[in-house]
Amino acid sequence: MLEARDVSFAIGQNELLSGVSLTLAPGEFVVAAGPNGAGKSTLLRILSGEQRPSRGTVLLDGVDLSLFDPAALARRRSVVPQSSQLQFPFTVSEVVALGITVPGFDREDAGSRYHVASAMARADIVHLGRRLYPTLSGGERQRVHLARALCQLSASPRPEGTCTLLLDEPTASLDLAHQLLILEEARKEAFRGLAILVVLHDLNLAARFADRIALLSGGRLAAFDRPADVLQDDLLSEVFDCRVRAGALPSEPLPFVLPQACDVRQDRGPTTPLARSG
Amino acid sequence: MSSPSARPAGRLWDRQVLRLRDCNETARVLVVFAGLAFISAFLASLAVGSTGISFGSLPRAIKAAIWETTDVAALRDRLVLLELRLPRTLIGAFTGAALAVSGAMMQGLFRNPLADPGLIGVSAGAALAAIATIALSDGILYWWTALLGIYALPVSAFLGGIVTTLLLVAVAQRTGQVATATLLLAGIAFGALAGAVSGLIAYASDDRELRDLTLWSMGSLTGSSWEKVAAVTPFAILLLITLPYLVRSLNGLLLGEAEAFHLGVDVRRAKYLVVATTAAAVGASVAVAGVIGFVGIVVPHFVRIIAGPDHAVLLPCAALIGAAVLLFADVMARMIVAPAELPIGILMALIGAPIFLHLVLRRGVAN
Repeated sequence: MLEARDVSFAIGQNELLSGVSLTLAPGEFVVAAGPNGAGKSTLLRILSGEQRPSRGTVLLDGVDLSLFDPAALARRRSVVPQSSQLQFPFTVSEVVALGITVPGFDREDAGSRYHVASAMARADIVHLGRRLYPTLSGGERQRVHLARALCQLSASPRPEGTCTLLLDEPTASLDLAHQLLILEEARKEAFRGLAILVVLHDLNLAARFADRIALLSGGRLAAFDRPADVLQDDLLSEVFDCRVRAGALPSEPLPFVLPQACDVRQDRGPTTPLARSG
Repeated sequence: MSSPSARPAGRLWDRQVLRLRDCNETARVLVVFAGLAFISAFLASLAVGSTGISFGSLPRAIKAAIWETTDVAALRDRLVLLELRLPRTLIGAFTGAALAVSGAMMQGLFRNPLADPGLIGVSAGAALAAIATIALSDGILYWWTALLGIYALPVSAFLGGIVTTLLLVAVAQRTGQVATATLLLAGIAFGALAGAVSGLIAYASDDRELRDLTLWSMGSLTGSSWEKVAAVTPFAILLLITLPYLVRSLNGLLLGEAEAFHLGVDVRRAKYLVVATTAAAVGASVAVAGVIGFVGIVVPHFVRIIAGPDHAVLLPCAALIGAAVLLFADVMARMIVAPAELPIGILMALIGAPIFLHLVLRRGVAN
């Protein structure tokens, strides 16, 4: 169980996160959603142990996260970052292989190569293996980082207790098929008993995959519940500051969300100048 | 490296360090090439000089060094070999290896392929501290030299290097992310400042000191002695011991500090270890050989082009090739104007600056 208790985070006077409490149970797939600047990535960084909250605590199976040393933490959680620059010409398979360099991992050659190869197959980047990372497109880079995280998970000796996988907007620059692929891989890890947190902008993908949605707004947790309860017209319209309609597919009981119009701007009247040619 | 303990050392390396490419043939070829280059440079450096033990008489000199002999020529060879050439060669090998490895590690730490101890002022900071120690050894720093003996100079240079590096880390990370341009510009400013203060000290020194100091700022292996070998030995051992433990951290840091942390790297500790190790290596090399530029940037870059940026390959290859390059340069410095000598720093700049320019231009095209 990964638990945030009344967590706040501030840089100077700016409070990016205030009083957020939530839990990630093993086997649970949680999506963090919300408008830009709502604190989604900050929450993920705090749950990963990368940043310490300015107030409140994060507990992993009841133990304060700051008490784990980086290597012990790396054996129990991996992170797919939003994007990352690399100035040096690592090949794709080398970046994935970094996932097995965590201290305490099984380093026997055959085994570790197996982890690298299977992680690359799962992220659909086998054909990119010898390419240099800096030459890849944004979507390909995201899949490389997914493969690195999966490799780290599968090579880990999996100590007792909750393991987690955290993904920060993993679908941002992916095509439809790969968006589904990356989330399905995360789903599989949830079936294996990991606690998953994914930051997503696409509410329909959130509805499709999430067990629970953490809806953040202005650094606060506006809702943390099942998709059908969170994806309500009123709540979404208020949080995202625009008119949205949520419905349900007739075939399966999955909610879907359609943005309707930008209410605020309509109230103020047209903001673009009409007499452009004049 | 060519010692009989190479095998257990290799096993230790394998246990601590995982090569990222599974069958990196080019890396294997490069390791062999680097080893051969190092050995031939080492032998050339023993054989060449103003009083020539030629390649032909090198075996005789080595034999004389090991067994008792009464042959006068052999005795002379033995003297030249043991008292002049061998310490000089050892110092050269250490300096080249230390500079190349420090360059590779700094480039990893700052995630910037243009970082180099000479370029970003670390060498200048170390040199300033060393020069101050020499100039003030009769005055206010008397207790320092009295206390540390032959280690006063390398320890001073080490402290100078570490202060400069920490200042650089502080400046470069003021905004959170390492700002490349800020880092290079700040480094150049530090270098210029340290150079100016060194100049002031030189200006205030007497003639004999002045000549020493000038030679220092140009870099030279002249005056290598067993005493200097003894002074750098602890630093060389420190470097060899810390190297394997830094491979994993440096590889992770190439992806970014957050990503390195996700991979279980204790980022703070790794940073301090890299800073301390590079400062120690650069400080010790500056203390015995002065300021020598470009080894730290050209050698790691050459290795990366061939075998990729994996530090498990990069660090040992950079050490061997760095030593080889410096020794060859020193051989040339001794031959070009024989029986006099060129300061090796000048020669390295003559060779290295055009290569560096080429790198910068190539990067400009790539971006």
